[in-house]
Amino acid sequence: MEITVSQEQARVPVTVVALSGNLDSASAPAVQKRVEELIAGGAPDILLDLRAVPYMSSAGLRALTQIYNHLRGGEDLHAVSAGVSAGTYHSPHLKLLGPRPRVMDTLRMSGFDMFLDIHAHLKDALAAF
Amino acid sequence: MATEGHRRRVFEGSLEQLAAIRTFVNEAVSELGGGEEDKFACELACDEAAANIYNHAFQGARGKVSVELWREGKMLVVQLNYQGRAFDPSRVPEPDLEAPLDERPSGGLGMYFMRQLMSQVDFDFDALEGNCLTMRRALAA
Repeated sequence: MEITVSQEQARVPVTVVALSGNLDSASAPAVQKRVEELIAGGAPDILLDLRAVPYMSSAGLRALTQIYNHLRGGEDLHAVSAGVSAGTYHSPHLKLLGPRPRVMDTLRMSGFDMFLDIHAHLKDALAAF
Repeated sequence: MATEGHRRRVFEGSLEQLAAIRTFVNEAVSELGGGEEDKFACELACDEAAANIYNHAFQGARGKVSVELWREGKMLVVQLNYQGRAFDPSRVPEPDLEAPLDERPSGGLGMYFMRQLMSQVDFDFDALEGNCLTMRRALAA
Protein backbone atom coordinates (compact mmCIF):
# COMPACT_ATOMS: atom_id res chain seq x y z
CA MET A 1 0.00 0.00 0.00
CA GLU A 2 1.39 3.38 -1.02
CA ILE A 3 0.27 6.42 0.98
CA THR A 4 0.79 9.86 -0.54
CA VAL A 5 -0.03 13.01 1.41
CA SER A 6 -0.63 16.44 -0.11
CA GLN A 7 -2.33 19.68 0.83
CA GLU A 8 -5.17 21.46 -0.97
CA GLN A 9 -6.70 24.80 -0.16
CA ALA A 10 -10.51 24.79 -0.06
CA ARG A 11 -12.54 26.99 2.29
CA VAL A 12 -10.28 25.34 4.85
CA PRO A 13 -6.90 23.66 4.33
CA VAL A 14 -7.54 20.02 3.39
CA THR A 15 -5.05 17.18 3.82
CA VAL A 16 -5.41 14.74 0.92
CA VAL A 17 -4.32 11.18 1.67
CA ALA A 18 -4.10 9.17 -1.56
CA LEU A 19 -3.98 5.40 -1.17
CA SER A 20 -2.78 2.99 -3.81
CA GLY A 21 -3.29 -0.73 -3.32
CA ASN A 22 -5.68 -3.11 -1.58
CA LEU A 23 -7.04 -2.04 1.79
CA ASP A 24 -7.19 -5.26 3.84
CA SER A 25 -6.13 -6.56 7.26
CA ALA A 26 -2.49 -6.51 6.19
CA SER A 27 -2.47 -2.87 5.04
CA ALA A 28 -5.21 -1.08 7.00
CA PRO A 29 -3.28 -0.65 10.30
CA ALA A 30 -0.51 1.30 8.53
CA VAL A 31 -3.07 3.55 6.82
CA GLN A 32 -4.86 4.21 10.11
CA LYS A 33 -1.57 4.94 11.88
CA ARG A 34 -0.43 7.36 9.16
CA VAL A 35 -3.71 9.29 9.18
CA GLU A 36 -3.78 9.39 12.99
CA GLU A 37 -0.28 10.89 12.89
CA LEU A 38 -1.52 13.57 10.49
CA ILE A 39 -4.48 14.34 12.75
CA ALA A 40 -2.21 14.52 15.80
CA GLY A 41 0.03 16.85 13.82
CA GLY A 42 -2.84 19.29 13.30
CA ALA A 43 -4.77 18.12 10.22
CA PRO A 44 -8.47 18.56 11.12
CA ASP A 45 -9.90 17.96 7.62
CA ILE A 46 -8.98 14.85 5.65
CA LEU A 47 -9.88 13.71 2.15
CA LEU A 48 -9.13 10.03 1.60
CA ASP A 49 -8.48 9.44 -2.09
CA LEU A 50 -9.60 5.88 -2.86
CA ARG A 51 -9.40 6.08 -6.66
CA ALA A 52 -6.46 3.64 -6.74
CA VAL A 53 -7.89 1.20 -4.19
CA PRO A 54 -9.38 -1.78 -6.07
CA TYR A 55 -10.42 -3.72 -2.97
CA MET A 56 -11.43 -3.03 0.63
CA SER A 57 -12.36 -5.51 3.36
CA SER A 58 -13.87 -4.88 6.81
CA ALA A 59 -10.37 -4.01 8.05
CA GLY A 60 -10.52 -0.91 5.86
CA LEU A 61 -13.89 -0.03 7.33
CA ARG A 62 -12.53 -0.38 10.87
CA ALA A 63 -9.74 2.04 9.96
CA LEU A 64 -12.31 4.47 8.53
CA THR A 65 -14.32 4.21 11.76
CA GLN A 66 -11.31 5.09 13.89
CA ILE A 67 -10.29 7.98 11.63
CA TYR A 68 -13.86 9.31 11.59
CA ASN A 69 -14.05 9.17 15.38
CA HIS A 70 -10.73 11.01 15.73
CA LEU A 71 -11.98 13.77 13.45
CA ARG A 72 -15.54 14.01 14.75
CA GLY A 73 -14.62 16.57 17.39
CA GLY A 74 -17.45 18.25 19.20
CA GLU A 75 -20.32 17.22 16.94
CA ASP A 76 -23.62 16.80 18.76
CA LEU A 77 -24.35 13.04 18.63
CA HIS A 78 -28.12 13.56 18.62
CA ALA A 79 -27.80 15.93 15.69
CA VAL A 80 -25.56 13.41 13.88
CA SER A 81 -28.10 10.60 14.40
CA ALA A 82 -30.98 12.80 13.28
CA GLY A 83 -29.01 13.89 10.21
CA VAL A 84 -28.15 10.30 9.28
CA SER A 85 -31.79 9.25 9.64
CA ALA A 86 -32.91 12.16 7.49
CA GLY A 87 -30.18 11.50 4.91
CA THR A 88 -28.78 15.01 5.39
CA TYR A 89 -25.60 14.20 7.35
CA HIS A 90 -22.29 14.58 5.53
CA SER A 91 -19.23 13.83 7.66
CA PRO A 92 -17.76 17.34 7.85
CA HIS A 93 -14.11 16.51 8.53
CA LEU A 94 -13.61 13.20 6.67
CA LYS A 95 -14.59 12.71 3.04
CA LEU A 96 -13.91 9.94 0.52
CA LEU A 97 -12.92 10.44 -3.09
CA GLY A 98 -13.70 8.11 -5.97
CA PRO A 99 -14.27 4.66 -4.48
CA ARG A 100 -14.32 2.01 -7.23
CA PRO A 101 -17.47 -0.13 -7.67
CA ARG A 102 -16.33 -3.03 -5.45
CA VAL A 103 -15.17 -0.67 -2.72
CA MET A 104 -18.49 1.15 -3.00
CA ASP A 105 -20.27 -2.23 -2.62
CA THR A 106 -18.41 -2.73 0.67
CA LEU A 107 -19.29 0.78 1.88
CA ARG A 108 -22.96 0.28 1.00
CA MET A 109 -23.21 -3.24 2.45
CA SER A 110 -21.96 -1.94 5.80
CA GLY A 111 -24.07 1.22 5.73
CA PHE A 112 -20.96 3.43 5.84
CA ASP A 113 -22.23 5.39 2.85
CA MET A 114 -24.91 6.78 5.18
CA PHE A 115 -22.27 8.45 7.39
CA LEU A 116 -19.38 9.25 5.16
CA ASP A 117 -19.48 11.98 2.54
CA ILE A 118 -18.43 10.39 -0.77
CA HIS A 119 -17.56 12.26 -3.97
CA ALA A 120 -16.61 11.12 -7.47
CA HIS A 121 -14.53 14.20 -8.36
CA LEU A 122 -11.73 16.02 -6.52
CA LYS A 123 -13.20 19.45 -7.16
CA ASP A 124 -16.55 18.50 -5.63
CA ALA A 125 -14.90 16.77 -2.68
CA LEU A 126 -12.82 19.84 -1.84
CA ALA A 127 -15.80 22.16 -2.23
CA ALA A 128 -17.72 20.05 0.30
CA PHE A 129 -15.36 20.93 3.18
CA MET B 1 -24.70 -34.50 -3.66
CA ALA B 2 -21.84 -35.18 -6.08
CA THR B 3 -18.89 -32.86 -5.81
CA GLU B 4 -16.64 -31.78 -8.67
CA GLY B 5 -13.73 -29.61 -9.62
CA HIS B 6 -11.82 -29.63 -6.34
CA ARG B 7 -9.09 -27.00 -6.11
CA ARG B 8 -6.91 -26.78 -3.03
CA ARG B 9 -3.91 -24.76 -1.91
CA VAL B 10 -2.15 -24.36 1.42
CA PHE B 11 -1.09 -20.90 2.53
CA GLU B 12 1.59 -20.59 5.18
CA GLY B 13 2.36 -17.35 6.91
CA SER B 14 0.22 -14.59 8.31
CA LEU B 15 -1.82 -11.63 7.10
CA GLU B 16 0.53 -11.00 4.17
CA GLN B 17 -1.00 -14.17 2.63
CA LEU B 18 -4.40 -12.53 2.21
CA ALA B 19 -3.65 -11.15 -1.26
CA ALA B 20 -2.50 -14.58 -2.49
CA ILE B 21 -5.59 -16.22 -0.97
CA ARG B 22 -7.87 -13.73 -2.74
CA THR B 23 -6.14 -14.36 -6.08
CA PHE B 24 -6.44 -18.15 -5.66
CA VAL B 25 -10.13 -17.92 -4.73
CA ASN B 26 -10.89 -15.52 -7.57
CA GLU B 27 -9.31 -17.83 -10.16
CA ALA B 28 -10.85 -20.99 -8.69
CA VAL B 29 -14.37 -19.51 -8.65
CA SER B 30 -13.95 -18.47 -12.27
CA GLU B 31 -12.76 -21.96 -13.24
CA LEU B 32 -15.74 -23.45 -11.39
CA GLY B 33 -18.18 -21.39 -13.45
CA GLY B 34 -18.79 -18.44 -11.15
CA GLY B 35 -19.39 -14.93 -12.48
CA GLU B 36 -18.19 -11.54 -11.27
CA GLU B 37 -20.65 -11.42 -8.34
CA ASP B 38 -19.61 -14.90 -7.22
CA LYS B 39 -15.92 -14.03 -7.46
CA PHE B 40 -16.36 -10.86 -5.41
CA ALA B 41 -18.50 -12.64 -2.80
CA CYS B 42 -16.17 -15.62 -2.33
CA GLU B 43 -13.05 -13.46 -2.40
CA LEU B 44 -14.32 -11.09 0.29
CA ALA B 45 -15.85 -13.85 2.44
CA CYS B 46 -12.64 -15.89 2.27
CA ASP B 47 -10.47 -12.84 3.02
CA GLU B 48 -12.58 -12.02 6.08
CA ALA B 49 -12.48 -15.63 7.30
CA ALA B 50 -8.72 -15.93 6.78
CA ALA B 51 -8.04 -12.58 8.48
CA ASN B 52 -10.04 -13.76 11.50
CA ILE B 53 -8.11 -17.04 11.53
CA TYR B 54 -4.72 -15.32 11.37
CA ASN B 55 -5.72 -12.83 14.06
CA HIS B 56 -7.64 -15.10 16.44
CA ALA B 57 -6.77 -18.77 15.83
CA PHE B 58 -3.05 -18.13 15.26
CA GLN B 59 -3.08 -14.99 17.44
CA GLY B 60 -0.71 -13.15 15.15
CA ALA B 61 1.77 -16.03 14.79
CA ARG B 62 2.47 -17.80 11.50
CA GLY B 63 0.25 -20.73 10.62
CA LYS B 64 -1.08 -22.87 7.77
CA VAL B 65 -4.50 -22.44 6.21
CA SER B 66 -5.74 -24.87 3.61
CA VAL B 67 -8.23 -23.29 1.19
CA GLU B 68 -10.32 -25.66 -0.93
CA LEU B 69 -13.13 -24.91 -3.39
CA TRP B 70 -15.47 -27.18 -5.28
CA ARG B 71 -18.92 -27.39 -6.88
CA GLU B 72 -21.96 -29.20 -5.53
CA GLY B 73 -24.52 -28.80 -8.32
CA LYS B 74 -25.35 -25.08 -8.45
CA MET B 75 -23.59 -24.48 -5.14
CA LEU B 76 -20.03 -23.22 -4.76
CA VAL B 77 -18.29 -24.49 -1.65
CA VAL B 78 -15.30 -22.78 -0.02
CA GLN B 79 -13.65 -24.60 2.87
CA LEU B 80 -10.85 -23.44 5.14
CA ASN B 81 -9.00 -25.95 7.34
CA TYR B 82 -6.56 -24.78 9.98
CA GLN B 83 -4.94 -25.81 13.21
CA GLY B 84 -4.45 -23.51 16.16
CA ARG B 85 -6.80 -22.25 18.79
CA ALA B 86 -10.39 -23.37 18.25
CA PHE B 87 -11.99 -20.30 16.76
CA ASP B 88 -15.44 -20.21 15.25
CA PRO B 89 -15.81 -17.01 13.23
CA SER B 90 -19.55 -17.58 13.01
CA ARG B 91 -19.85 -16.92 16.77
CA VAL B 92 -18.56 -13.38 16.43
CA PRO B 93 -21.55 -11.11 17.10
CA GLU B 94 -22.71 -9.00 14.20
CA PRO B 95 -22.45 -5.24 14.49
CA ASP B 96 -25.43 -2.94 14.82
CA LEU B 97 -25.31 -1.15 11.48
CA GLU B 98 -28.00 1.26 12.61
CA ALA B 99 -25.77 2.59 15.39
CA PRO B 100 -23.69 5.75 14.87
CA LEU B 101 -20.10 5.05 13.87
CA ASP B 102 -18.66 6.15 17.20
CA GLU B 103 -20.82 3.63 19.07
CA ARG B 104 -20.06 0.62 16.89
CA PRO B 105 -17.84 -2.19 18.14
CA SER B 106 -14.62 -2.57 16.18
CA GLY B 107 -15.25 -6.23 15.30
CA GLY B 108 -17.99 -8.28 13.70
CA LEU B 109 -18.15 -6.67 10.27
CA GLY B 110 -16.14 -9.47 8.70
CA MET B 111 -18.61 -12.08 9.91
CA TYR B 112 -21.47 -9.87 8.78
CA PHE B 113 -20.00 -9.80 5.26
CA MET B 114 -19.51 -13.58 5.26
CA ARG B 115 -23.17 -14.10 6.18
CA GLN B 116 -24.40 -11.51 3.69
CA LEU B 117 -22.37 -12.86 0.79
CA MET B 118 -22.62 -16.61 1.36
CA SER B 119 -25.75 -18.76 1.57
CA GLN B 120 -24.49 -20.86 4.48
CA VAL B 121 -21.58 -20.70 6.95
CA ASP B 122 -20.71 -23.74 9.10
CA PHE B 123 -17.91 -24.42 11.56
CA ASP B 124 -16.57 -27.73 12.88
CA PHE B 125 -13.80 -28.47 15.35
CA ASP B 126 -12.09 -31.80 15.81
CA ALA B 127 -9.28 -32.28 18.33
CA LEU B 128 -7.21 -34.17 15.71
CA GLU B 129 -8.32 -32.60 12.45
CA GLY B 130 -8.47 -29.05 13.77
CA ASN B 131 -10.82 -26.26 12.66
CA CYS B 132 -12.97 -26.46 9.55
CA LEU B 133 -14.96 -23.51 8.22
CA THR B 134 -17.26 -24.29 5.29
CA MET B 135 -19.10 -21.61 3.32
CA ARG B 136 -21.59 -22.31 0.54
CA ARG B 137 -22.92 -19.92 -2.05
CA ALA B 138 -25.68 -20.51 -4.57
CA LEU B 139 -24.23 -19.41 -7.90
CA ALA B 140 -25.61 -16.13 -9.19
CA ALA B 141 -27.96 -16.63 -12.13
